[in-house]
Amino acid sequence: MKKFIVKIIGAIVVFAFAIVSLYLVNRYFANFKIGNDHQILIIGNSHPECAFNDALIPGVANFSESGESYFYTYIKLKKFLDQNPQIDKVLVEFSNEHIRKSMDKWIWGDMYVSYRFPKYASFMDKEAFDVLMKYNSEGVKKNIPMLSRSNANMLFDDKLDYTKRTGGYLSLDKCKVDSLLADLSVNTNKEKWQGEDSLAVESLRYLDKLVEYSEQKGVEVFFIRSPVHEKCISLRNEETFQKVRLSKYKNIEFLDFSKFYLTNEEFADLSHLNKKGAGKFSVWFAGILKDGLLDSSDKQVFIDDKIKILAKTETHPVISLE
Amino acid sequence: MLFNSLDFAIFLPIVFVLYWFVFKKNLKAQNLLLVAASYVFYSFWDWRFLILIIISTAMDYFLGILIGSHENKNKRKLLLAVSVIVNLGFLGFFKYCNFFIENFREAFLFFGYQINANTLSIILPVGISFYTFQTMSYTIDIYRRQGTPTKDFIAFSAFVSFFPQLAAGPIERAVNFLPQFTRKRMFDYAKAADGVRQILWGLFKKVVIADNCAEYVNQIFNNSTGYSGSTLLLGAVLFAFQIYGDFSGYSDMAIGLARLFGFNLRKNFAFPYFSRDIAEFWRRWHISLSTWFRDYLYIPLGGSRGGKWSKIRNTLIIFLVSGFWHGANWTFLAWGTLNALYFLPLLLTNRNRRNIDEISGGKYFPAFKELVSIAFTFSLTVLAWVFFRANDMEHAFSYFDGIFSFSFFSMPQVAPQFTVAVLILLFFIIEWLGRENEYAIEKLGLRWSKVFKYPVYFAITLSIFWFSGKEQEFIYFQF
Repeated sequence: MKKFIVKIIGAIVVFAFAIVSLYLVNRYFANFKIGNDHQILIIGNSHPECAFNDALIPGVANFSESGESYFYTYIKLKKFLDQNPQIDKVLVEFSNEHIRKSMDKWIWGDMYVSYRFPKYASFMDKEAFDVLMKYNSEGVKKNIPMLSRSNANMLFDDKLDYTKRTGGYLSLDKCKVDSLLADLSVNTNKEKWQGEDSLAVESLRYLDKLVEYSEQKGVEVFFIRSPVHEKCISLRNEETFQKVRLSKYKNIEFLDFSKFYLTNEEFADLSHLNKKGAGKFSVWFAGILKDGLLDSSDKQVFIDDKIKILAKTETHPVISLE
Repeated sequence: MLFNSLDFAIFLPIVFVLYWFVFKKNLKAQNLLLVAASYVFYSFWDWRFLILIIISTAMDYFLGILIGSHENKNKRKLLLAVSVIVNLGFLGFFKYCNFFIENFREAFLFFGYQINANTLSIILPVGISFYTFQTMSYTIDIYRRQGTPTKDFIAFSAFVSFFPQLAAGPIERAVNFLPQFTRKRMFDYAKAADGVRQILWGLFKKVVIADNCAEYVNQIFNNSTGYSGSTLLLGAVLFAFQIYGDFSGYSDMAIGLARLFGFNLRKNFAFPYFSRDIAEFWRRWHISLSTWFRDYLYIPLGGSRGGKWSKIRNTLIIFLVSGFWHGANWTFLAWGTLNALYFLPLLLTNRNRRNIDEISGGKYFPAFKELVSIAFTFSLTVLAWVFFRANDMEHAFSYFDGIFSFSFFSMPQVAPQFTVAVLILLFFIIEWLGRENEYAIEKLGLRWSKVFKYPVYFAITLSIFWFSGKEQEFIYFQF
């Protein structure tokens, strides 16, 4: 019996050592370094992921990722800011969907935990673990083996370069707007304010933490809203969105690009730009950055004026994206 | 809780330590611990269904004593009937109620009558098909005077609820298994080490082979109308690996776990995909269930005795019931029927017991004729598995339509990743080389030095972590 127990414990110790080592190596040696010429970081979900082609915007790095809640963005952002002192501005996507209660599910929903927990668990603090365990302990437990695998893959395949796996511009070829508009039979009436209970709790709490951390690091935070089609269903709660933005985040400058002028052919669907639209928007955005958007006193007026000029002229050059 | 879960990884050492260190000297206390641990294990699935196990246990315990104490055959028969009816009643209600309601409704509709019969929201208790059969075998054996009733309620409860085999078998016979609860168990290092090896291999089959195949199988079966014939065939082949890896993997884990506690469970799979004919396949696949049906249904019906029509009837009944046992869907009946049609020619021509020796007896490679037989038998089982996996008959037939089309000759549109394909091939080779053992790696490295042996086991364990697919519940839990 003693021999058996000793051997089993020995095997467990060896494995535990391997797993813990992988975890520690990832936690303390993960590489989030980006080039020194990138001073502006864009983070958020699929909207900025598809809208900002950072290859066309000098000085900007886009690390947005589809389906990412502020909970995971916060974890990621801390690492980026810690390892890239040259970053002095962060543009955070803040749009109509972000205030909905359903956004909290993006933190602990099974699908989200399976995909993001293995990737980010090595950088989570106890509070973050507690949140996940509180709302989806089964999901967390199921994905612990995946965490080890992810750590091993990051070490052996990607040499701990997390910039390869934590978001980036996504180019979409599709254009489904016409068919979507034809099918649009959903009630598009504006939603009225439904009270605090309809708002995201944990998701917005992590947005607050994200803002706070950035400010501690001396990094200026801007909220942005990427371009969407005027018929995009998420705009139904515009009244609520503005109410929340002005009450909770009035001190954070909001750069609203939602009304950027794009044709149907430049959207992938009603919420996301395709390659053509992203190219046009990104080049234009690079231009207004260069023209001093972030230094102007009334940035939204600056943006709106530039959009109006574009809409009138439509002579804005679009660089070939091939 | 699944065997490959964190909860079980915490549960098992606690039970093991209590069993061998705290309650070692008291057999009754050990058995009580097993009952408590098994009920806790089951509660992780759904604690509400514990009452069914308790009722089934109590009922068959008392009925066993009554059957054993009566000499009057009619009284004994009546008591047995109560056991069978109640156990099958539970099974029938939880598993088949909605099937009958729906088909009853469809039948009336066919004749132009619309009846208002609503299906019920019934949850299927995990393991019900297994433990009801296990307790029925107890009362039937007592009735036949092949077993004696026990007066030890705790031992009997432990026999019914023993957690390694509670959820998905093997289905044990009381004559073999119950005495193990009334004898003192001694810790045996070799047995425990062997158990750990079998658990490891079972985990590998389940987590690496079955779960990885499942991802492709689900993709292909769920979108079958969009795929070529060759892709659909690949899907069916991968499902054959999935169900084997899943179910035999679970059985290996159950047997290995039982060994840790000093118990011997029967072998449930004997490398069935190396069978040379369908009769051999059914001697090697889910042995505990097929022998249960043989002993408690087939032989009482007359078995292979009697005329040709009697043999045909008995064979069809056995395979249909076996199919129906797997699930309340016409597809399972079709699967059973197809297997019966495969089996009957062999039975009627007295060739069903041709291949009872070891496959390729000791040689590394099979003879060409053997290889052809193995490939042919495997193909038959793959085609039958289509019914098993399909959602309904329409899906199954459209799947077959898709396989047997001109696109059968094109390259598959979906293929496993290279690493998965290599793992399946390695798995196949290891199973072939270990086919004469209880399980494939039973003798792997036994005579090797530690320098070679431990890295191999480490590699198997590492591969379980590294190559584990997305977690899928064991297929047979739905039965």
